[in-house]
Amino acid sequence: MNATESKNAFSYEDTLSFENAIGFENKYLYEQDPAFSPEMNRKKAIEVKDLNLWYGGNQALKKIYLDIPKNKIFSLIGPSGCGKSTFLRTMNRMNDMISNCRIEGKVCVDGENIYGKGIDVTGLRKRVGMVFQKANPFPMSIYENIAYGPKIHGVSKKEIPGIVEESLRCAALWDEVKDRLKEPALSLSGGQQQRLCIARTLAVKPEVILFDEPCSALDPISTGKIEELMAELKKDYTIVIVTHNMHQAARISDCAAFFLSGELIETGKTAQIFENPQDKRTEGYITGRFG
Amino acid sequence: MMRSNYDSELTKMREDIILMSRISTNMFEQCMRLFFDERAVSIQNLEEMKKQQEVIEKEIERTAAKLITLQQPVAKDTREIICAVLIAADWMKISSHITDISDISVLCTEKIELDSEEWKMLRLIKDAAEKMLNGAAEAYRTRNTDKALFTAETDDEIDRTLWKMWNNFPESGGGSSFSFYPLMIAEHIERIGDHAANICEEIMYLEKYEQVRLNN
Amino acid sequence: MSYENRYSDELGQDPVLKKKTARRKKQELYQKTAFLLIKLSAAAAILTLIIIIGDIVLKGYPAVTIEFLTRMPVNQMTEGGILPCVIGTVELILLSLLTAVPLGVIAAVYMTEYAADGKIKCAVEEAVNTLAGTPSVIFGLFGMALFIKYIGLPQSLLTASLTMGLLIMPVIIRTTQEALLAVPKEYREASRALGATKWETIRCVILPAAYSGLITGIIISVGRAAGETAPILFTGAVYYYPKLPDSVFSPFMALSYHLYVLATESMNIELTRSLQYGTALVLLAIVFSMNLIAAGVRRHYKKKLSSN
Repeated sequence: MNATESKNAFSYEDTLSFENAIGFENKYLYEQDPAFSPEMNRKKAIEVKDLNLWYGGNQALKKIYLDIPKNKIFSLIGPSGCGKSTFLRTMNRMNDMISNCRIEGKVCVDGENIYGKGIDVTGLRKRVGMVFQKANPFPMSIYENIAYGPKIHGVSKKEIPGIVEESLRCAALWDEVKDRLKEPALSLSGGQQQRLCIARTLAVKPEVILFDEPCSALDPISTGKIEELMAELKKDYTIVIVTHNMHQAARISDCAAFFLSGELIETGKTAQIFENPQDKRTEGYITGRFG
Repeated sequence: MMRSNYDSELTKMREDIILMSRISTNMFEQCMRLFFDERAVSIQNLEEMKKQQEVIEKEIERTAAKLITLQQPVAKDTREIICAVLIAADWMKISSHITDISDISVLCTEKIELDSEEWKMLRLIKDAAEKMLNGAAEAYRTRNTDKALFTAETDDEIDRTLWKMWNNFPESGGGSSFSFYPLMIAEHIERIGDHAANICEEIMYLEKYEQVRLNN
Repeated sequence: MSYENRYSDELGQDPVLKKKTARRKKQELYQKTAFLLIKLSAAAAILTLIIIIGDIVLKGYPAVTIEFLTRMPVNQMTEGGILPCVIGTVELILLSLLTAVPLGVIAAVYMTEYAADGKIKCAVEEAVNTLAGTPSVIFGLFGMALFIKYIGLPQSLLTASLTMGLLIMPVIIRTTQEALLAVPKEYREASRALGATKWETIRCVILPAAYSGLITGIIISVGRAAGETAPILFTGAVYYYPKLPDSVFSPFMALSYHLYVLATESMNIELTRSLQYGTALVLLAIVFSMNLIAAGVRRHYKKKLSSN
């Protein structure tokens, strides 16, 4: 192991300083917040080590090291085209669907490198779910939309109605649709459709949920409902959200990472990033004085 | 463009603070001249300057509230706005102490013996205070944290000299030569020094995101 | 109200605006002419359709009786019914669809979802497009050469259906491909993100969403299968067969061929004129009713899939 790798190596036996435990050039500031106590910090949902990604000849992600703690909301901020959506999609291997995409490096979900050999990609996508920018319910009924995931993964017919109800309750949508489960999903409003997509993802019981700008197409009230939902969900799931809206990131996330031109510039607790950013570029972006 | 509007409002707030600091230092200088200088100084002048300062302070508060609501500032901008309000309040407090000192000058009908012990020590205190006020004003203008720290230390001088003045207080009523007025004035100046040290604390917070205690 | 009238009080003799109104008048004239031509073309198309159908209906209606539909032809086609032709045509349509639709849909799925963009894919697409435009008589000759001469099948319903299947397959491939491409890529992403494999996505999400386009392709093909005479000419259709086709290996009678022969080669053309119109009417009726069924199925799926 060379010097860089040994600096990154995180062992659960480390008891004292947590600055050592984090990857290269990350700056987490863990203060007196009990939510960031040493015991909680040891649980990392996803660890990214030296991730590089190319679209054809163009390098879209450069040497990313990042750790995503469990049961927290982690936001990725940055200007358009900085690679945050691309980075999000590497975490559940959605970039495999793009033909000229090449990836080097490790992304470890629960300790296992998902870009290693012999990884079951469909199983991975069950554990790491994704909600997209524009709500995309299938052109089927509400019930069938939610039942799709469990059916695909072989859940028995008897259990499915229970799963559908549970998912819709978790997504705060049950009361609004319980009388019309057989109606087409496309008849719901935009905010309801997005919550349906969240319920659909919850139905396969993931560990991590990735949100790619989920509220960018929604009005403020629907946005507020989804933000409340995310705050509830983080108790049971790890949430990673890409957002253009900095104030949303400031409101809901526990940790934040700032991306610029494919590089990770700064990461840390949200309060620290927004009150006292260490890097000039981060400050320039969040105060809106960017180029 | 939204940000250029925002930046110009911030710049205007900064300039208002600088203006307030100049008014206060000016007021202090004039007020001290009431005692240490033979030429007559109008007290009305001082009152007007204080009123002018009040108007500027209100303006700063209004702008701060508007910027927080409309621009949702983060990081340094937030600190900038909050510190502007706090520093403006401190300059106002300094000015009200100065007008209190000027009221003393009305009461002081006796002849001022500038060579006496008390008045000499008051002169020391006055010089230190002047240094502090100028230092605080300049530290804000240039955003120099070293100057702020240095200025705050001058407060110790004032405290020590005041303590000495109290020690000199005669034990039993004293002779007719002892004058109480310097002591009264020195008390006010000591508080002016404390407020100036507060301003230096706020400049440190603004620049370095550190909350220090420079007052003791 | 023209520009000039509305503002003439305020404008008076303003030279600049007067120039504008002249130009505007010219443009309005062009627009009116263009719209008129467009309307006339639309009217011509509709009129043509009405004339053809009207003619057939009016002249064929008297000939179509229950007897006509249910009896075998007698007396050298001058009397009797066209039952074998009706059955033959319906069976031909169904068997051709059975040949073409599964193969065509699978080919279209492969081209849209699995094939990598490249020279091969381009070549295949061009081949399909060319085939779609190839004259039907060439399909007939090909069918004869391949199925009858080379493979050795008899002239029969099977051979004719296979040939007709080849004819309609390019159309099915093309329309299915369009339908699949029209399904938004968000559905594929959402399905894959839930952990479904590519085939599960296609089977459960994409194909159902593409049904209406698929069925449109089938509707178009039904018309061609029912009406094309050349492909079945050499491969299985006969002018007269004493009984109804009892197996796929027997020759059969078809409405399109029957009509052709009645109109050109029968013993007494004038006498059979009403029979000809009747045959044409029945052919039209079969095609329309099959189209209606398919359209109904398509509407059912559209309603199921889209919002209210």
